[in-house]
Amino acid sequence: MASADKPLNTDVPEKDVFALHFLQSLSNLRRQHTFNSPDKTNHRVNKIKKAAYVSMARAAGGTNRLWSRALLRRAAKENNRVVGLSRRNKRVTWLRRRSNNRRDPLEEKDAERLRNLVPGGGAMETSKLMEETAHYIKCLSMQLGKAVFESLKCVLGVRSCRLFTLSNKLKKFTISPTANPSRNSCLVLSNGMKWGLCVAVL
Amino acid sequence: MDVSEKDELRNGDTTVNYDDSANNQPADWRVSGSNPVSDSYPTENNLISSCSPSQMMDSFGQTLWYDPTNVQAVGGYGGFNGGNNASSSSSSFRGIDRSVEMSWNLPNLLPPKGNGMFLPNAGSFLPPSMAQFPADSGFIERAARFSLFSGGSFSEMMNQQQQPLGNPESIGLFLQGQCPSNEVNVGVAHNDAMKETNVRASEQGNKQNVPGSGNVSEDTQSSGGNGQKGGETSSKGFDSKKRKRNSQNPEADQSHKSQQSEEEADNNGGGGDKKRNDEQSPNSQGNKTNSGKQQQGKQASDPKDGYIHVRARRGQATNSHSLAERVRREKISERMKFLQDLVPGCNKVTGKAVMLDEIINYVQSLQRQVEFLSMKLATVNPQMDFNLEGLLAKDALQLRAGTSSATPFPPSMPMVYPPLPHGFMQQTLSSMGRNISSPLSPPINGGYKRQETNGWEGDLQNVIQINYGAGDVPPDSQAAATEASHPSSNMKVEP
Repeated sequence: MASADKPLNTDVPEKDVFALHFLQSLSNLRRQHTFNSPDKTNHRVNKIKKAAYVSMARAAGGTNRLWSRALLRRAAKENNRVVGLSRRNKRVTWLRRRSNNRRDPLEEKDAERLRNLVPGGGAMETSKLMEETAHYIKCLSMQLGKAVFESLKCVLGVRSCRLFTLSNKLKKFTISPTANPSRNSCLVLSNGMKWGLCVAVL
Repeated sequence: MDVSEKDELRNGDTTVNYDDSANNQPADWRVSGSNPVSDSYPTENNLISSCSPSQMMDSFGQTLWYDPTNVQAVGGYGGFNGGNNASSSSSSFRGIDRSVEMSWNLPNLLPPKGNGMFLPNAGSFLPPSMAQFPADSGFIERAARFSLFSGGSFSEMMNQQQQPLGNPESIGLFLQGQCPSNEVNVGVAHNDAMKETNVRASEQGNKQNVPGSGNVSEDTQSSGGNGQKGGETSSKGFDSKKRKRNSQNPEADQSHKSQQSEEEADNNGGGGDKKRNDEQSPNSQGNKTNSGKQQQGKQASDPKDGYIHVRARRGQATNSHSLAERVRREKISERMKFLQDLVPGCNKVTGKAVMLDEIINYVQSLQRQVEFLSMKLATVNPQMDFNLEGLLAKDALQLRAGTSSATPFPPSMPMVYPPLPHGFMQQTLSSMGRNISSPLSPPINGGYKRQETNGWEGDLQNVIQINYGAGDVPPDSQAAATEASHPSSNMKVEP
């Protein structure tokens, strides 16, 4: 699954790496005793979400990527843990100071939105931001496809799952609960546009 | 041959004229013969060869030239125009010199002997009469010589005043028709001769340009070459454009055989470590020394060692800031193209803004999906209690083929989460124990990018190793593969 571009190196590890990471993080989460209380669903959701992101960051290249680094830093800060990152922050901030003067106003507002989306994007030049975005997209899609899917499979205790991706043709997909909702469920993740992730659990 | 004939005709006619009415009408250097070329051709030749330069010079009187070429007579006679600067004359002299020297190599219309006779005499002839224009006289002589050889200079000189550039083929017409405005033409004669030499040089250099345009291109090229040298300083003081071009011509004439290489040489001299590219000739074509707005970006933004040298394109500003800006924009557009391949369905979209919007939407949707799935996971979390360990092991089993040994084994998340307790691993191992046929092989160490932090990682590696050893078919990835090959067209496995 790893693809490489000549000038840009956006190699992404295999899917299974993501899956493994995610599962490990999930299992770690479950180790926490306060995790399974049903009332704190939101809290749990957030934790799972954070676990997903962090596992993805770790799987995608650890500290080699700016966005993963920023993600890990952010997570570590929240957990009051010290993350040993390489000494590249100074350079990043210097880049930010420099790049503030030479930004194309035309694309700046879009780049700003992208910066808000991609973790750690605030301190990057636009060209670097593009690269990070590409890698981020790759990792996200891979993780969504495989890791979460795997975890779902594990969690739901099903034998086999089918993973579908909506193409451009299908805009919406209706969830049809079957007789046994616990066993047969179809998750449709779609943003109403072209991309969607449909997990049909058999 | 026509040209050669005309040249010879000119020579003969002027010679005849000089001999006859040298003192009477020194201005009447024009060919009165007006003749059909064929007539006096042989005779003129004889005359030319027979006449001694000194004799011809004497017949003139003061500054008239013996010459077969009217240019000389004109130039010597009327003196140069007041605007003739010494520098210009000297530079043009140099230019003519070179052109003449080049012309030696050209198929000469006149016998070389005759030329050899003329030149030294011209040199000797010059000092007494043309003290104030020593260089110019010699220059004029050589210009005349060159124009003689080229055959087109006459009309050029004639027509300098009347029209920008004359057709060299119509020399015969102008020969007769020229008014005795020698003085006027004198000043520009050498200029025209210079240009003519350039034209000739360019033409003989196998340029396909029309002489007029060739001259222009020659000039532009020379001016480009000069521009590359930082501007032709001597040209600044000239009133007329012709002078400026003449001054620049010497540089252009240096390698008249190969103008392009000369341009390159100039570029090399001036550019230094600038990158050469295909835009060099268009650069020189469009380069004007006086107008900076059209100047090609000869200098990159201060070439620093180890940096990528960038050359400004034609018609673009050469400011170092703009150059860097352009590089940056190119980088961004290149990455945008790469992103376009990633985001599905963005092939039709063009434009940076729309593409960026698409990318942003895609990233947002991906993040939303993550959130959605995590929510889903959270809701079903309570069921994970007893499933997870077994499933994890099973999943590790299934991961085998997809992950080669080179794949970096994912370490745990020691920094964020509490490490997986050893008990879990032991349980897993025990569960797998019956399936294990081979002893635990050493952990996979290929390509680990991340540091190992906990000891239980080794256990995990062992688990994975077991999975590698066991089984042949990776059910999970194969299931994914089958999904990929599923005939349902609308669906494809998430890559």
